[in-house]
Amino acid sequence: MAELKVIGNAQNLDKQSKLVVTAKLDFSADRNFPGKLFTRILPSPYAHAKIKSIDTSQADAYPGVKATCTYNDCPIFSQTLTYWGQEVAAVAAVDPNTAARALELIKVEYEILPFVLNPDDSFKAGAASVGTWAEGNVTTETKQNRGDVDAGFAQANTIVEDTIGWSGYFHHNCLEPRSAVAYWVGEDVYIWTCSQNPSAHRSSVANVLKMPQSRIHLVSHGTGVAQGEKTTQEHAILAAVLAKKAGAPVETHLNRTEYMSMGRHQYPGKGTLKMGCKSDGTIVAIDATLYADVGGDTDPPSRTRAAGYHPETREQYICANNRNQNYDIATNKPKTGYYRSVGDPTGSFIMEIMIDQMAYKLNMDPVQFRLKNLITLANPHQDLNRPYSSVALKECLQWAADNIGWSSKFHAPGAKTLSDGRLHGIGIAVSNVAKGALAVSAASMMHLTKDGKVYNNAGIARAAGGTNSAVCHIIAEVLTLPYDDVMTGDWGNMDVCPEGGGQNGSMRTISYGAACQRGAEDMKTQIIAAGAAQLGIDVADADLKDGSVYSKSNPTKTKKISEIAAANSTVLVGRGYTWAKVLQRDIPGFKAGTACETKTMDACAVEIAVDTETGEIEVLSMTNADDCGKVIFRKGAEGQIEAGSEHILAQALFYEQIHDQATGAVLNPGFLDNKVTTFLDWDDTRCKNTLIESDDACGPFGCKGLGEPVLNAYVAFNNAFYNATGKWIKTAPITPAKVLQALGKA
Amino acid sequence: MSEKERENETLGLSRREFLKDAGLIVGGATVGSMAFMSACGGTAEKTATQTVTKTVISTGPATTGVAETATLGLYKLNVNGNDYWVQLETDWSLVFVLRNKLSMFSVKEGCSLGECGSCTVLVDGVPMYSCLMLAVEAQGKKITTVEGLSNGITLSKIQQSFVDNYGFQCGYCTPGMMLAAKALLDANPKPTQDDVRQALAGHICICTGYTKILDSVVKAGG
Repeated sequence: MAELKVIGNAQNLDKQSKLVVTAKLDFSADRNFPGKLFTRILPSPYAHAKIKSIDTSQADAYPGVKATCTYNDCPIFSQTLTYWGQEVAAVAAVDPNTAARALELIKVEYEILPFVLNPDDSFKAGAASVGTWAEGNVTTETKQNRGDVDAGFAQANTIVEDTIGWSGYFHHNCLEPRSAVAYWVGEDVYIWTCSQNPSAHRSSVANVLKMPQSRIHLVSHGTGVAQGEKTTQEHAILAAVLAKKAGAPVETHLNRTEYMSMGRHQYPGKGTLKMGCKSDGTIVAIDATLYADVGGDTDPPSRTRAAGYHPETREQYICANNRNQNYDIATNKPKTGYYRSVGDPTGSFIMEIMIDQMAYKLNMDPVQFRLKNLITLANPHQDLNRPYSSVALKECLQWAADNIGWSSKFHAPGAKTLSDGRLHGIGIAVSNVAKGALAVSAASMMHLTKDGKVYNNAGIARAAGGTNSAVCHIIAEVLTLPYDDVMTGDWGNMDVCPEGGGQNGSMRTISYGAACQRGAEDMKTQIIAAGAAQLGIDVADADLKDGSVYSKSNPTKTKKISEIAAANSTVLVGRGYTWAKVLQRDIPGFKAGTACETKTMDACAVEIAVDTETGEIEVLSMTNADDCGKVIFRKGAEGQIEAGSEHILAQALFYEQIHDQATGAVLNPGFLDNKVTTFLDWDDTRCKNTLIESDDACGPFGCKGLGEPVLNAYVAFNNAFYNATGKWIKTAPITPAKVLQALGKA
Repeated sequence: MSEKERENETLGLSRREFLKDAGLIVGGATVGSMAFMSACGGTAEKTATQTVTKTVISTGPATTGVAETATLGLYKLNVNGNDYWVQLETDWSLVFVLRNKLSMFSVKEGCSLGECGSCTVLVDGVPMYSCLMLAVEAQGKKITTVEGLSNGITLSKIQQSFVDNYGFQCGYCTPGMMLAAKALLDANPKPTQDDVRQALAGHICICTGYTKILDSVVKAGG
């Protein structure tokens, strides 16, 4: 590959930097229209109930109220309520306080129904119905089989079996809560919203409102992070319905309490895993029964969630005999969805504790045991028999281990006490995350200005990580232009941008980036043709280099892109489409064009001190390595791994939504009680991160993408805790109370 | 019980509930209390020039007798050096008024609970959560938002440092962080990383990475 001039350059800034620091980058609610109304939502006071009657007449008549809606006229509401805090009705009024007061005038008669919060209870025969699926509380049951598990166990001389979980009920807690503004003009609705996938959401909003897509004008500029939460558009649909009823612009903007119950959460997982190994440490059989707690969610995707733990439980380690039985279980808790990746944090949580249990039982070093069994590029995806487009799991693991000083710090469980009496422990874990559903429809469209700059209209919203900037790198690289000459035009505006293929599934840089690479190549062809015509040379003799078209036979004949654009009678427009997820070049054993799997891989190692009196855990050092393929936008990538490593701390130690067992209420719906990592928790001198840039054979310029996947391996903390104390904590997060309980002190 | 209170009771809005709704228990400042008394028909004098009684909208039988629940008044707010006369309800939060009456959209409402710091503005140079402050409490004080940090053409040192050090990702918490940073740098022009950590402790970010924000502020001082 030719030397890259733009891609990976650490000097390149975020394209929207100045918009951000002047706060001119608009988020969905950042717009004023005369007469804009404000919304408050009535939350369900019950974890499971049926609305027998609802009367909004007093609220409708309350001064300042312009519209109300309920399940009778807005499809985001339901007559059956399946979790505490679920939307019951909404009021649009001249200001939020008026709307809040009017909520108290809505008369609702509920039929209170039995509820079930604990997924283990929900799973049992005879459990109370959660009310989401008529067929029962187990919403999905799937099986995955490979090889002969019984024969595998017959070869094993060491077997471990345990149940791990439940992992935590994590809310994404995006700084910008869900918000939207909508108004109508005739039959058309204009919606500004925070969306991870504006093109898909234009279509889903159209479906829900039973309108043609052409009547939906949907814009998603800023998203105050998304991380898997902003994958649905209930709040935008509500704004649209209220705006139509009121005949005025309506803003919906959840406060934190509403957001914590009405937003989505990670679906926690549990697994009973049996693993067999030969005495040399070769894994020969894995039998896994996996459970996901999907909450009170009624959306179809909830039906295949425990199956999403397969990348860690079936694919990460070489094993010929593998049996998975997966169950998704409904409970009367707030709805769930994807959280910073699909099932991988939980898959890793279940699998990596089992891997450590086996390593200790075999008396092998956990790093060495992993190195012996982890996949490499030579191992195709074991279920699909497809090649990976790159694999650097072992490199990630080795880097994390080397940089934390594993070989000198690892010890037998409970064997090291620090001078202050605390117990020292060290742990490690790995994970992998699918990148890029490349087959999805993603298209790019860019045009060349008359002074030779490129404007790319991106059908994706701005989210953390800077994909808009990343794709400008790709376009500049193809067109041999300086980074500054490629701009993001309007973005996330579905009236002007072609479908960007979405940002969920961590696929922006790879999928949309591929579309942009092709779009830039399309433009390059046109520039060369226009340049050749203007230079009076044959197209076959012309090429592009350093921003100029030149004659290969006579390199003195050159013309700059800016001069070509100025002299050209038409505007050049480049168009590109993403490619199927196939190898773009040969790799050992596989030809270009073969369908492939593309995964970001990561490892986390952590060294902790456990205070056996208070249960407090202090992080002494932490290392994170992430194989994201070729780094495109370096500043963004470094930010992603750093932010991911900060959030590991929260998931591992203190971040969790707690539900009242008596009512199902969310007991800690705020940042203070459901604590995220803060400035005071974070000491960057104790954390070392790296990006391992494997040259991916599928993604544009060898990239795979990021999306903070490093936090998937937060289970390294549980492993470190075992190393410190010789006791397992098999749930997350590891709170002081759990520590004391594990140590027999509480 | 006054007639007005009886009317409120009829509606199920007791005096105490109104107080709670209006956010006055949280706000609790003198101006807020006066506004509350005034709203409830009390006689406290306002510092604002004019008090306008909200028109009672004609209502159906169920709500006959609904009285005004908050008082509309004309107040002067000083934002980024400019005086604005604003028609305010006394129960409006400062963040609501800055955003929706003055179009200062740099002020982001992240939690509405005083927990995240996104809505921070400077009030007489001191960082305050504008979701926890009533707009009427801001009378006579100088409010600074990001719109007042620079003219947008030449960035302020803080803004430039956030650009250079990539002290943001999604950008939602950034305005509040930059204003808290300004208050710190005004008082302590060469802060250490620990100084910044303490000064920004009331601000939450979940996507940028705190180190880059710390660097941005320290380098803006250096």
